[in-house]
Amino acid sequence: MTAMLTSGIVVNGYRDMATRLPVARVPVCSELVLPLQQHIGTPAEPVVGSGDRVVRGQLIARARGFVSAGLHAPVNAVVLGIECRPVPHPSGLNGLCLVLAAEDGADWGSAGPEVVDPNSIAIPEPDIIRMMVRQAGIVGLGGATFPTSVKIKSGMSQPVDTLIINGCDCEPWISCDEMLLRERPGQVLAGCHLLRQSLAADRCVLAVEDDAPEMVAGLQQVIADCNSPVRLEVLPARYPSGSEKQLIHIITGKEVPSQGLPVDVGAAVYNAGTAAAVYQAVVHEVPLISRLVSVSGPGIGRPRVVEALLGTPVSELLRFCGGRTADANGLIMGGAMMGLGLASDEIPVTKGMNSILVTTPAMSQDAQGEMPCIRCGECARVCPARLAPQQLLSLIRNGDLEQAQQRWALEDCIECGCCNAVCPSHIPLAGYYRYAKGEIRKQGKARVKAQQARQRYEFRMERIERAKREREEKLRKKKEALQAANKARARAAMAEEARSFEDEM
Amino acid sequence: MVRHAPVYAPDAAVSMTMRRVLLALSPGIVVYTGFFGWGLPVQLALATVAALGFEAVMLKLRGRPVAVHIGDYSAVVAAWLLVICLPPLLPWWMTLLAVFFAVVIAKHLYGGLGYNPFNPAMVGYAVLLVSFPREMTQWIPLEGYVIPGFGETLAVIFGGSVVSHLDGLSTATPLDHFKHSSSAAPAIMGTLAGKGWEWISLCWLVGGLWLAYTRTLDWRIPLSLLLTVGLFAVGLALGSNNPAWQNPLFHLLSGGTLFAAFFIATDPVTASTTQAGRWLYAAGIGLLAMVIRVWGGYPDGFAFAVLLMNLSAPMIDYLTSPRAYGHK
Repeated sequence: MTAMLTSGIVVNGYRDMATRLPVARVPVCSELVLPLQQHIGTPAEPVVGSGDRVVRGQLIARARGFVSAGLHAPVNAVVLGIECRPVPHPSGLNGLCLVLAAEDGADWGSAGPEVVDPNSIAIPEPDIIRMMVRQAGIVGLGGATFPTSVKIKSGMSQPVDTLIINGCDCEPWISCDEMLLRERPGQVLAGCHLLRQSLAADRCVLAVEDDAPEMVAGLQQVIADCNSPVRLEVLPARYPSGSEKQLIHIITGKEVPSQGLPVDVGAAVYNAGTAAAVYQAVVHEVPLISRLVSVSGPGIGRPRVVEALLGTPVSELLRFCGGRTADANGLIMGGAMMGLGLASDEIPVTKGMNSILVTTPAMSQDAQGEMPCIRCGECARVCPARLAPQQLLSLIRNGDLEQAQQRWALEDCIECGCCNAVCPSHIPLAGYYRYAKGEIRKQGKARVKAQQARQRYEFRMERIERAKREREEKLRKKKEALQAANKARARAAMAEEARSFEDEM
Repeated sequence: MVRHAPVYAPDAAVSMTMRRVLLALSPGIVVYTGFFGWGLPVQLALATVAALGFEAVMLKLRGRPVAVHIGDYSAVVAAWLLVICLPPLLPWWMTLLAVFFAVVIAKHLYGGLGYNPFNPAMVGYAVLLVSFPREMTQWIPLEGYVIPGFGETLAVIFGGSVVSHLDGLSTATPLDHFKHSSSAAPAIMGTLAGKGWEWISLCWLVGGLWLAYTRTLDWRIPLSLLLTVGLFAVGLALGSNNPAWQNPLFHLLSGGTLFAAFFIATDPVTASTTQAGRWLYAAGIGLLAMVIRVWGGYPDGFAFAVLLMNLSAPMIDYLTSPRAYGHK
């Protein structure tokens, strides 16, 4: 029996759009902008200053703290400065970036060998691998951008029996993993070996979807040719098979506990692109300075997967891919289901940017206004997290977030948007859940703040009380001392008087 | 204005769901008309106009955009489902009253589409059944009477006239008849559930199966309901001496069983919403309906069974909500 996702939806992945042309490198731009925060965790800390000359691969900002990742110069360049520039973030706010001016004639450098025999590479000790991955600034390239070395560390502290390499392009229109696995399967397989070694995993599974037959056939060939121990698992294309928790369930049959980590069930998932980056870092000592970006959608002239240096403006990618068509009406970073809208194309390629989707009005033309929920239950049928979307919706509309959280597991929503896609009333359900989760976090923070304020207040009151007590105590003592002194004096006076009286006598 | 994902053209819509239900009802309505004449089409037209009128007024009163919501066809569906359950020659004002209760009281006063706890069509039907039991059991028999023509039908429905040869409209449904007769029900088409009714029932089955195929309704509900009725009927056949109950197929094909299974119990708004809950919900309807049919005072019990289970749906939902991913 084939393992597959039983919930979720079958969607057109548009896999044939960006896969007709081979991967090409976007030419080096004169100015590169590297946000200090391109990963989950603490922002990187610049180690170069304005005017410094840097060479390709040189560390320009170091990881700060445990959960963080460093940045490297993509080309030989001069540091222009550290400035606030637009970055890909839901808030639309600017972020601190290192701005580099590429030197004249700066190039990509020689491409490493694309075809490698994954079995012949030398495999260092697990700790060495982890350290090299950390030094290369590698983060999850599937879009989550969690620092890979931290993930390896957590996999070392608990036994991992299944290492899963995620080769499912998780959303419609994204094709970078497919093109990577078609053109550089050896790099991915070599990365699998390295990751497996570092985690001491029993087995390694490469999961892909069956809607890219050319890629599947190629992978089968390569795996057979090099007699790789990696098991290829071809899943029926179904969204969201590429979601981490869902993929673990498909492959191992185990569910990651709510609020838990994959290692809790002995699993670890890495994106195929991350595996290739690990190979580059460990074998060729090349840090993460570029990535594959799928540039697709009906609004782009020549859709294709490109390899771009980090910091290259998106506008340059669009120009390289034939520019926008006349009816293009929007830019989305990521896929059609969960992607983030971009206000402008003047933002840089970052480590997490797996796709740029150029939309047209035709993509969503039939969308009508929101109608009342008719409780058809389709949302619950497709929910990969097995939540009760309707109950959550009515609770959120009524403002009962506590109930939504505690009884109906709101926090376990993966925001995949399957519920939106099947809703006959066109209710933006996932949007409601995203809002409510944010609201709960905000309330939690406010609660902590209120608690701190209360503690501060109580402490202050106590301090004032104590000071008052101490003052009173001091006063009392002083008074007593004074009284005692007075008494003594009086007594002395009386004694004196008595004595003088006696003397007179 | 930055547009975020998701971007896609949705392939489902409330109005399409409703239109599919209307389409699925059509074969049954055509066959019904072929057997029993113009009564049903006239009532359908009357009820459609009335339902849309009530709907528009209520939307206006509730301050909702009339044009947007009236186009969802939900009022028309409720009206059709209701009328199909009524005797075709019912006086016009009774139909109007039933539609009023369905659309105004049962639907809009409880918050409109999606919020009504009770099936509007069944509320309208139950109101008439309780208020006018005699009129509600006057069905046209197919034997011994001439089916009234168009003019005659209008005269009966709107003029209140009693056409001489229809004077003795049958007051017993086949179910009523068999319940109190001692003759065995012959197991052939045409006499099993009362002449004409099996064919109409089969049309409901065809329309319902198409709805299940197109995922417009959840197949669990009709399957669970029919299984319950079937099992109950087999038990009855084995355990009862009444010759009328000897053929289990009788219960599946007569009265409103198939209609209720595919078109009434499947109303998503008033049904249970979880998968496990839908099995329970529909089984409850089948069980209650059979209890009322066999031991109750009414010839058929689907209306009351549905309303009683509507009442239980929220609790069923609560008790059968699935375990979320990653929770024990």
